[in-house]
Amino acid sequence: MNTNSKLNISQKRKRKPPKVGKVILYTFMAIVGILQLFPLLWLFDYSLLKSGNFFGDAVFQFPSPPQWDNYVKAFTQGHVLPYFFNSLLVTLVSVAITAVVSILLAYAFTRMKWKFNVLFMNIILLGMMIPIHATLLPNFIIFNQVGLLNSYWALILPYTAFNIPISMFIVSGFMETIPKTIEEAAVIDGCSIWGILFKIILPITRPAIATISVVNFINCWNEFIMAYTFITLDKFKTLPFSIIQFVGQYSSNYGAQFAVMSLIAIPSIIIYLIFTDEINKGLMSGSVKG
Amino acid sequence: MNKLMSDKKTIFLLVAPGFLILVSMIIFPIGMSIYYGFTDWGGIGDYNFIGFENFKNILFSDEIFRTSLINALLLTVATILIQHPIAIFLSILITHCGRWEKVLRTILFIPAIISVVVTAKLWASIYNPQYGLLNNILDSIGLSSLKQDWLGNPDLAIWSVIIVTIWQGFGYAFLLYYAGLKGVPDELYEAAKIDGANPFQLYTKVVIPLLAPMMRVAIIIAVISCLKQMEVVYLMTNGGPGNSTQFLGNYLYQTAFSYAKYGYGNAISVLFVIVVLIITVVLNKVLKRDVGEY
Amino acid sequence: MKKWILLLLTAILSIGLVACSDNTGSKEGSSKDGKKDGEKVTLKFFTALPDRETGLGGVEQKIIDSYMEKNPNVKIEVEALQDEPFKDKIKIYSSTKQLPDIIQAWGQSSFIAPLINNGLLYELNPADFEDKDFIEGSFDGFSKDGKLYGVPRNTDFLPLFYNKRLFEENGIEPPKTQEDLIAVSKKFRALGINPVATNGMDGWIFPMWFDYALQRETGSFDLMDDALHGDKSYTDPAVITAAKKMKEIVDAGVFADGYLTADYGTARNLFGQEKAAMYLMGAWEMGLATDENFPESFRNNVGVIPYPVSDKSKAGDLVIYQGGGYSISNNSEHKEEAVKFLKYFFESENWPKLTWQSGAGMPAQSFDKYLTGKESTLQKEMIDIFNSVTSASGTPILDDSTPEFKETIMSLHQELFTGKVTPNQFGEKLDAAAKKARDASK
Repeated sequence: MNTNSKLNISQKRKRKPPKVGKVILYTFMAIVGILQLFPLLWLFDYSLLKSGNFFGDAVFQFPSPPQWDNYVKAFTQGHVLPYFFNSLLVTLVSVAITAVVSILLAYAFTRMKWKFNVLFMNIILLGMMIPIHATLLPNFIIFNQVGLLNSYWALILPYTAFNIPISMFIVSGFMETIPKTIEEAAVIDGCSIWGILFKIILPITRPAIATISVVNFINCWNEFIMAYTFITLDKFKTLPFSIIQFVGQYSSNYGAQFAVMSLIAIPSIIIYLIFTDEINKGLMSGSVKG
Repeated sequence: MNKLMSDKKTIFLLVAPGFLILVSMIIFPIGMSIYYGFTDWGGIGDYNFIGFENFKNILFSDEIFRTSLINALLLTVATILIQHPIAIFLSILITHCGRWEKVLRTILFIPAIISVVVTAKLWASIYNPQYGLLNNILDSIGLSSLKQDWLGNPDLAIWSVIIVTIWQGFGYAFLLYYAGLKGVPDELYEAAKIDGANPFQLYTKVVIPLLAPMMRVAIIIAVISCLKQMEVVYLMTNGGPGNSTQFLGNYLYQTAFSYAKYGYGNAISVLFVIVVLIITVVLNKVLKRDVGEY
Repeated sequence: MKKWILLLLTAILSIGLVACSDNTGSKEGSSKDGKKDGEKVTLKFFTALPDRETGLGGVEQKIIDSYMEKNPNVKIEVEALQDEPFKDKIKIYSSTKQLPDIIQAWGQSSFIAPLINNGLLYELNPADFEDKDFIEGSFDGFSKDGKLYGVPRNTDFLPLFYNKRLFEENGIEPPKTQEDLIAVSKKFRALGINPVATNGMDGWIFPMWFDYALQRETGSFDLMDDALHGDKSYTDPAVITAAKKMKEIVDAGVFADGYLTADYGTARNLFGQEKAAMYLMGAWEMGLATDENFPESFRNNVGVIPYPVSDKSKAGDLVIYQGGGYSISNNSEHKEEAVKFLKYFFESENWPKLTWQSGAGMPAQSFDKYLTGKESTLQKEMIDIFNSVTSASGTPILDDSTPEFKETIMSLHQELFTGKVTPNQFGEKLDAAAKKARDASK
């Protein structure tokens, strides 16, 4: 509760720089913003060109007429639609599992009293430092043994595992800021640990959960090297495959390649735009503790 | 309370699911990696134990390993010295942008959310000497003499790659600092104003030191992700030309899969993990001392 | 609201997930049952021809489709990746001894030797393929100790493609000698046209080109192999001179801007979109003349010449070898079915005829009888070069040893061209790599 009131104060307007300064500031920021977006605009622009026009000299080329056909090709030949649903499924399930598991872990580390608390926490944080690539082949061998290759689980499990450490880290950082007195009162009222966790802690931790979920969503959505190693059947392929496949199969059709790239980028942008407030809220309230 | 908080069964139920996933997907595979690191396995068939042979070779006679390590450190330093100051600067500016603040914040973060596969291919096209955006721009503003083969020139290639990773990762650094700034209590600004501090002093003397804990987190995250960097390189140059943009992650992938030296590749990955561990631990110690007072 | 929607979506998806995994489980079950009845068979087919619509991949897919139509009980699941990712993936598969039923294979030791040595490939019966008119000696690369482990698909060689229109319009003659090549390139440079497009990022094209450079220097392809086997050395003056000459050619700007980071598609596009006058690439690119992605003026004017010569060599001294083919996995549960499919695949009505008549490439089976007289000029020029062969390189040097040697020689070329190593160091390092490879295979 404490955190919320602080947040409100800090969101108030701070100072007013003089007018001229404001114009310079806005111009500068506009330029920065455009520079940041420019490559993406270029991507969309070129995705509407004929492959032959790619070699022109102009920076931007007005597509005349726009080659919407590139997008049709991308959709059909790049298998964008089925891959999209695979991506969505794998990503959402991984995000959900990661969130649940991280909350449990964070609670155990910040609240519970046990001997190996620090040891276990360190082992999990160690996971943050492990490069994904070191686990590719061992995991391939393991998945092969237990028959998980070419299944959604072959992606969900490692995605979850690699997202747990940082998620747990963020959530437990947040939990530490929650005063223990609330829980003490609840215990006196006869509430169990699970009751405390779900009825009291969970609602307060929501901003942190939102943050990790969105960050994990982006991570999973964009991951490709594991997908590339563990998945061979079309049925289970995720979106980044479209582009890898497309670059190989239709290497002569630049326009369609750019169209596929745009199609992959758009969902991430939309998801981000919808949840942008959540991310910021989570990050900011997490940072109040400093 | 205490009894409830140290109930073994509850603790087990809280920890077990996450720990199990982590162990089976990360720790156990790394264990296998260490095991194979001591063999000469080629990925197929039989293998022999060769002791520390692989590790010796990597540490003492593997130039590519050295290049990869140096590149990784270069990227780390560049990220901290280029990306972070810009991120701090922009996050300060953006708090003065009033109703545009939200829009700008969103725009600045967008590159970070786009698939590496897309950004890497995109930037490879931007750098393309035939139809790339960069050379086209240089042409159109009359600087044709500066045109380069950005990724083909081994001296430039590493910087071209570094710029892409900085661009891509910029959003996260920015958001962290921005969040840190938002966390600075308003009273401080007021107090400083009353003391007659000008805006410059306000930021250098009061606000930026307050960002120190944020910096520590941001820097550690940056170091880890820089050392682990692989995707951008894998997709843009595959370490070339002539290993000049090689990074550890990509190199170990190449040795294990393309060279078919699986044992050797695993030895690299073990050393890799050790390097990352040492650097983070040291960094944690050093930075903690620096900012310990806050 | 948003949260509820998200929650609901997650719930639906997780149910879907459970249902899906159940599905796969039961499907596997049914296919196992099917096997007992001798009905349904699923063959996994892993190929390095990712373009399933045109070119060689298109032909391959067409034959697969027609086979499945004629044999409704057989289902062929295709997985396709580009060459280098394909080879990486094969290594992943073979580390668990789980190769797909039918794989594309190259009759070259860097690829096939580890697979044969570890018993991963199924021994084929040469009699099954005797009546299919394979070119003499084409089984050699796929055989070991008199046993056959694969069937070749293509004959590959390395010519120089060129755009006749660009040459004629600018009054430039196609290069006959290496000096010509440099002179011609300078002329194109002056006109603002890229001389030679090539895919330097992939790495394999340069060592193949080096086979030419050295042959042009010594007049024979032998030194290359002798040095690899340790009878001679890569520090031989001829090797150093050849390396120097290659470096000269590179420095003279013969290759298109950005050649070192151009991947296969980029280089192909550059040539196909008429931005480069020449294209150093294998004969399998015969399909250029029919690729609709490229302008008509290109398709009508693409031609091919042998790689430029020196006074010690003839135009017929070719880097020519047996290219890709197919092998069957030893752990396949349907070896009979796989063999049946391969027999069908190589029937004269199928692979050799379709490949040749679609202009997609040169089959490894004799195709004289399929000549229709309606071949494109590109095809005719290609046959002329093929028929003119005076000496042959055999397997390109990079594929004739261990995978590690291959990677080393590929990056050594890049380092030579970017000036990171001198021609002398190039020779020394190559020799060291060859020695290492010999030690490893002992």
